[in-house]
Amino acid sequence: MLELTLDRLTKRYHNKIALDQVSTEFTQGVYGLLGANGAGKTTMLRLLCDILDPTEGEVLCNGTPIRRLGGEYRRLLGYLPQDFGYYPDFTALRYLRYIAALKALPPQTARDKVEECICLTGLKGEEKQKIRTYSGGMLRRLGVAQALLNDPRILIMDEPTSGLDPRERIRFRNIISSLSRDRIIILSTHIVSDVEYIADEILLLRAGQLIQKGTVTEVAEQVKGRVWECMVSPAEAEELGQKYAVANLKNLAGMVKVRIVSDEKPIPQAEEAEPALEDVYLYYFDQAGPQKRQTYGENPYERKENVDVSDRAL
Amino acid sequence: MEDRKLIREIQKGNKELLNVIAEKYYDDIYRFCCFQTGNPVQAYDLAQETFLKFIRMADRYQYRNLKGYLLTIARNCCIDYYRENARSIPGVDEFPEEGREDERLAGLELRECIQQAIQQLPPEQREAVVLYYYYDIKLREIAQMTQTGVSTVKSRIRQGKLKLKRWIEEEEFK
Amino acid sequence: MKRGRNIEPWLKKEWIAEQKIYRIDPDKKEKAMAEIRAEAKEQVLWYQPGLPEIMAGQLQYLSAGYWILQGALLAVMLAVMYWMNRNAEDAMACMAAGSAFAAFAGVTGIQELGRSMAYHMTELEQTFYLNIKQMLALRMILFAGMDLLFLTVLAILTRQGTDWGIGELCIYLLVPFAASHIVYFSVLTLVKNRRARYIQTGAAILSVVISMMPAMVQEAYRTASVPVWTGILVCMLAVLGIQIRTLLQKAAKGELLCWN
Repeated sequence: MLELTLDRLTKRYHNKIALDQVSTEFTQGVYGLLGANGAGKTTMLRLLCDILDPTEGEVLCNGTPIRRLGGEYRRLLGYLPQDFGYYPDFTALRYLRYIAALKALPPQTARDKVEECICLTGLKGEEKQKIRTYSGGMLRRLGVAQALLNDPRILIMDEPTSGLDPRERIRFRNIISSLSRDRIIILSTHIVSDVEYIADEILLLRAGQLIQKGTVTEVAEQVKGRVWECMVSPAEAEELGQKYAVANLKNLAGMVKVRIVSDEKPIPQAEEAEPALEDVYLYYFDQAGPQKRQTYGENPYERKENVDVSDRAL
Repeated sequence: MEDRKLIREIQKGNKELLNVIAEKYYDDIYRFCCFQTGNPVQAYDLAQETFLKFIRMADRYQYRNLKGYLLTIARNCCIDYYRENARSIPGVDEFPEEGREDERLAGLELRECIQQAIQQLPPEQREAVVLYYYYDIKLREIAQMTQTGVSTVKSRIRQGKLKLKRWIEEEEFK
Repeated sequence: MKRGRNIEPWLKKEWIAEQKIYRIDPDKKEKAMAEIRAEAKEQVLWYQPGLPEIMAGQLQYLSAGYWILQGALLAVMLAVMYWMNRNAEDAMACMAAGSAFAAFAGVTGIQELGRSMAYHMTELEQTFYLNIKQMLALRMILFAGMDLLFLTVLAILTRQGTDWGIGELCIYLLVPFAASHIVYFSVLTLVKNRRARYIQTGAAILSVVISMMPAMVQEAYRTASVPVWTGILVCMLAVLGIQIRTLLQKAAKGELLCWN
């Protein structure tokens, strides 16, 4: 059984600490790495992929530092970077064959795996088109296809669903869920719903530090007693929006149902609610304060950069 | 298909050819394990173990002499087996007195046949004679496998052969 | 030691196979073979491609643009030099043209090298089994080979229109070649997106112009100045060596090639 260990992993740039003394283990299963932009998710994934060298600490695979394993470690790896590169004038087929060659797959296996991954990611029928004609969703699927070519034991994906529409995101989730369970799958995202249902464990990263780790339930427990729901008037809702972290707003026949994450009860009539992962996210990451809250009047279902509203309604 | 080509195809991804190799060499390896351990029953497992180990290392194997390579693995398997069971490789009277019935019976059969001549040789001589005559392994390779020098191997073969001859002549005289 | 025909029968291989005790029980054998088959089925074999296969792969995936550009450059060079040999009186003009081509020759290779950076492939390529350092080195060797071929043809053609010795000529041509490469490697990692191509072409044009300048000075190509040229060449090769080594070192670990 494969085990990846991070031992006080630290990455420092000239004046900035991107990752700060992160220690954890990964074994089989799906891990969701949650954090705001700039929290250090990409840095951590790049360190796991042996693209960057850590300033301190190391990454170990079954006890051996990955730096020493070199190519033998990379064989086990499938990586989908956030900014995934491709040659636009290649067809998807040629591209995947190129990657298969770089992954040192034997010729016959390469042909078979390329075909298999094309079917798995639903690109069958479009593989002979040039990649520059692909939509965003198809591109991401191509990225997943290339990551799976060498049947990786460790699959690492950086923001795999950003910019995708809900249908593509669901499709992506299904692909991940369909993969056999004896892999380590690490997904980083700032979209909570992407990992909430498929992750076995969640890791919360803030400012380079690992602040929480556990199953969805365990992590959600951390904010038990800090999630409130209440029905208020629109004006009150706006007021609350200014003062507290609002997880959700819903119009209900002239009144507004507000879900708030806060240490203290926002208003007397608020009721405690069962915490969800999103609330955790808001609790830990909504450091910016009221000025970034979305205000009443704008579409509560619309995705905002700074406040990640649940898309459970979708 | 000859060995070199087999190996090359396997390393390109044709895993089924591993079975072809097993089919081709199983009998030889089995008999070798018999020689080494004097235990025909155990030899089946040891032969199996040899091929399992070969499969696990197949991608790193650099083709030189496949038969010799398999014999080396088999030899190591036999040594490991005896180390684990805290026994030395049996000579003439060292048969499993305790242990499984079928192993004992097989051992007795062995004792009754002329093959005992070979089994009663000291292990190093037996090994050298067997490898040289029955498996056509070159002196240099035997030296490598047993981690000794060529002249040592030569002398072991010579002495082994001499002992065998003398033993068989005695038996015939009886 | 002989294994000849007159050895005892019980030392022959065939004898062993016939002996009862060593006869194999087919059931037990089948059982063992079944286990072996199961293991073979489960085993994942890692493939180690040989160098020829890697090179063939590299050649296969070079962009069509590279080949077209190289071909076009060759054609233009042949045409121009041929024309110059026929019509130009002045050896210096021939030299200038030769130098210009020598300076320009490397740009196609460099653009190809920079292609993975231009399309953000490097972050992904660094995670594959095949060592990216080796791949880059391989590509550079490939392109260097092409360029040297090109230079050889150039040298031969230039020689026909002038009366310098072949050795001297090579040095005169290698200097702009090396100099332009120093420039190209410097700008290779400057810009990491599509605009890189324009910058590289700009650098190429600049190199070409500079390379033609010595031809304006009559003394530059006197035999006496050969040592000077050689000295300059050696320095340039040293700088190039350092540049390449730095590039390869940085290629393996991110900072040079990743956006951060």
